[in-house]
Amino acid sequence: MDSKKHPKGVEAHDDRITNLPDDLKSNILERLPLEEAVRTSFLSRKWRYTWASIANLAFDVYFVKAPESTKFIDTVLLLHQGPIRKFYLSSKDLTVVPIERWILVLSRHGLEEINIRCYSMWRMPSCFFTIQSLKKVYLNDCILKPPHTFCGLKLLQFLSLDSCTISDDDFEKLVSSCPLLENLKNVFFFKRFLVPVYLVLNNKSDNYEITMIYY
Amino acid sequence: MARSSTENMITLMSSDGEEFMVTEKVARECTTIRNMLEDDCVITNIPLPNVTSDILSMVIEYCMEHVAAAEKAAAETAEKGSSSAPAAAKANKDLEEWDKAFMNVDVYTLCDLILAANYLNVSGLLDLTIQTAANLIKGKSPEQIRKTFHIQNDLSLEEEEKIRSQTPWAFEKSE
Repeated sequence: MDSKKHPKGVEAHDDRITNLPDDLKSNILERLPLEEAVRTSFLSRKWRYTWASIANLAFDVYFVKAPESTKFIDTVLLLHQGPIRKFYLSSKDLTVVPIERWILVLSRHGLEEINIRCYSMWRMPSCFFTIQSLKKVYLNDCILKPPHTFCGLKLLQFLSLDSCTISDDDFEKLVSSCPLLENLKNVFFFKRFLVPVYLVLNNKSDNYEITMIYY
Repeated sequence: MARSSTENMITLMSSDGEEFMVTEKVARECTTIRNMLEDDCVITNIPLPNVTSDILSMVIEYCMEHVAAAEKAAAETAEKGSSSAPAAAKANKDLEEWDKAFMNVDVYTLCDLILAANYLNVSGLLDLTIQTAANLIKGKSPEQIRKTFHIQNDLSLEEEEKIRSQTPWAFEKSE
């Protein structure tokens, strides 16, 4: 075996973790809090952008205050390479959420699961309704208005809307055009709605099994 | 553990030529081998040129333990007609403890096990080893991680400065 010595007595072949295939390294980094995964860019040249291909991005931005948290998410999305399968964002102090540009980026990366917990009302950009790879959606305090051209999300299996605003017509359009949502107990509503969605649900109770949970 | 004499035995051969006789059931824990057996059911000798004997023996040890645990759980369910929840929980806990003790290895072995679990496609072992590696990184400064895994820092001061300015929030807590 080649035992060429590096300065500090560390041998090249000793560093086995760096030499693991990229997908395995990404798998390791996905199990760390995101800021720790990003910190591994500081390990060596080969590690610089290893974190940038992790497919599950979870922004639990409790550890940075706005506006740094916005910069944090912007930088991660800018440096990221490859598919983003899951996007999780939880934030209490993001008051003006630049969510529109983030959703636009996500819409181009094969997103399968989105979970956004923001505590201020925000409007879902129309590009969201074109993300055909979506399977699971968890949203709160969101205003949803599918565009006229909306033709369903073919893979969507799970929809959870907490304190979201959507009109009766739009809701019906949304659920009826997503084939995997029909006859599934996988549509959830929580808390208040600004429009009486339950009327739609009552009319449609034969078609959709929908769980209503109030608290 | 009693073995029926009719059980098929498979010989696995490591990269350094050592042979390991295992039951087909244990071999099937490796999805890669299971696929080979399903494609060609008369195969009895499988060379594994990517896995050394040290690592292969550990992979086999892991598979045997997990097969034995599953068999024990199935036998208990059959005996009592239904599985008892406390017994199942204890068995799970025992297996978790065993996994934990099994992961008490140096970082070289750990990385070799990750590669072998990936190549042989043993999903439980891959998950266990990857999580162990993540736990070794978690909460550590870059310098501590380099030390743990023998990573040589080849970044210039300018590059370090650039990384720090590009992602300052990543370094707030660690330093």
